[in-house]
Amino acid sequence: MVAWLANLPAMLPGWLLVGLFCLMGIAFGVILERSRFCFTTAFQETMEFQNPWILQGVFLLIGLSALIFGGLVQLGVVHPTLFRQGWFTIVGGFLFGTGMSVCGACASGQLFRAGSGYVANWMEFVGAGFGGILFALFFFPSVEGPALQSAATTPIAVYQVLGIPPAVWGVVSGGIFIALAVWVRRFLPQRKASGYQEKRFTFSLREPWHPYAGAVALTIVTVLYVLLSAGASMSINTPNTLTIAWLVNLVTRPLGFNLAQAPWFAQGTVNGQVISRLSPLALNQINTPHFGHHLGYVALGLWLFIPITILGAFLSSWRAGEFHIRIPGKPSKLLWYLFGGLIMGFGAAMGLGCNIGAWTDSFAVRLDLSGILFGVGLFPGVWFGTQLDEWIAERIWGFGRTTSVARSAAVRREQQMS
Amino acid sequence: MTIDFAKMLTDLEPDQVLDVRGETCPFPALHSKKMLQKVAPGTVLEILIDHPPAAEETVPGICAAKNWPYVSVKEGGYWRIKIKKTSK
Repeated sequence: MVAWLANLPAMLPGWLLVGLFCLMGIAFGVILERSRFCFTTAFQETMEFQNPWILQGVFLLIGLSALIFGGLVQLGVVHPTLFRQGWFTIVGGFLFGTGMSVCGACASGQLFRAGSGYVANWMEFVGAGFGGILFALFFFPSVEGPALQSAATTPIAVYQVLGIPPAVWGVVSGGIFIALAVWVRRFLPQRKASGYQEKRFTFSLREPWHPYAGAVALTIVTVLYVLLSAGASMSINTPNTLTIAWLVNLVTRPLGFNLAQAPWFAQGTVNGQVISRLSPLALNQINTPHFGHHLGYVALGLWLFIPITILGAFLSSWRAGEFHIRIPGKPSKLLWYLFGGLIMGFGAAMGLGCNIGAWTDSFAVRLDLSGILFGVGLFPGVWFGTQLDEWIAERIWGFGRTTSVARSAAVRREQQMS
Repeated sequence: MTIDFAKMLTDLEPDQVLDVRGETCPFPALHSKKMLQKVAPGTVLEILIDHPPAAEETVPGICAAKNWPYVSVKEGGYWRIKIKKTSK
């Protein structure tokens, strides 16, 4: 059973793997949309409004996942692909944190908002894709590529450094995060308001979910994702970059510039054929442990998972009667989201992941050091990006679309009294 | 005797209206917070908002932290949140 689960991608038919990732993408979109699950919201609202209403869900997701994956790693069911760590992890985390805070939505948060009709987050998605492309073309070949070859960046598993079994580390770190998830509830200011109704722990498609429900559902998707990819952390920015790059290539390839052959996209050659991230099925030529000849199917599934998440979020918001196209009052805000997305995409590519891939899954799935370093850059980035938002909101945009004195009711009341 | 602020607010006409429909994070909450800081105590501010997280959690959180009474009514695809700024 352990061996079968560890080699799940090799055991299942290739196109079934692709189909399962697509179904999980739908589920991921529904969960994010119904539970309003967004890491940027979690961090930004805790810092800016002292309101950790979604942070409680983030902590529960990490805690539950750490408990489960500590056990799965101990049993040998999962062999997580550990991340290298170095200066690029911290700098990438800072840029990612800045960009996502400028946009108010991280790599995953933008997906459900794009699916719910927020045009600003469509711009963010496009910007993030271009950020990833710029990184691949201009930064990866000369700077980060060599750093990733260095022995100094060899991945470090925290439990190995501490000399304890992974299951024990999973129980310790998972227990801490679950305790945090419960503890932060006391700081929710709205719980003391008389008119406030806390969301129910439900999985109904017709009402919003409690963040705890989102966390439980996301934990299930994470476990399936990792099992079906034989240990990969959830990747959002890379498929985001590939989606935009694939579209860009429709224009640039006929003009003589094929992105598929560019650095980062091209991963090597097999039998004289370039293996590119933009044509993942070519990876099926390679026979690899845990995957057999199904590596290409898994790579395609991991890619499709992300655009299909947007579809899942659309279906969810439409079913709940909440979908409509939303355009910011000031058109210049769309450029702001494009800019933020660009910084976010560049930073995620540099830091080797987003909030989920680089941060959450480091504690929850891989049990490695990279997430701690990513966090060192991430949180100052969140603060800095939020300051940029405040600055531009005050100096450029003022308030909302139609801030107005509707009628001076106070003055009228005074007149009536006199 | 307890004062039913919710009932009172429902009947009150707003002094100012802030329309942040169409906006996404972080601006619905950010604009609301700035506006609430700007208006004088005693003002009734009505916020029109169609961003669920801000309407369901953040704006109620801002009001609760300051003990400002508010009434939130969902009308179709957006919320009308009427807030009485009772203190600085």
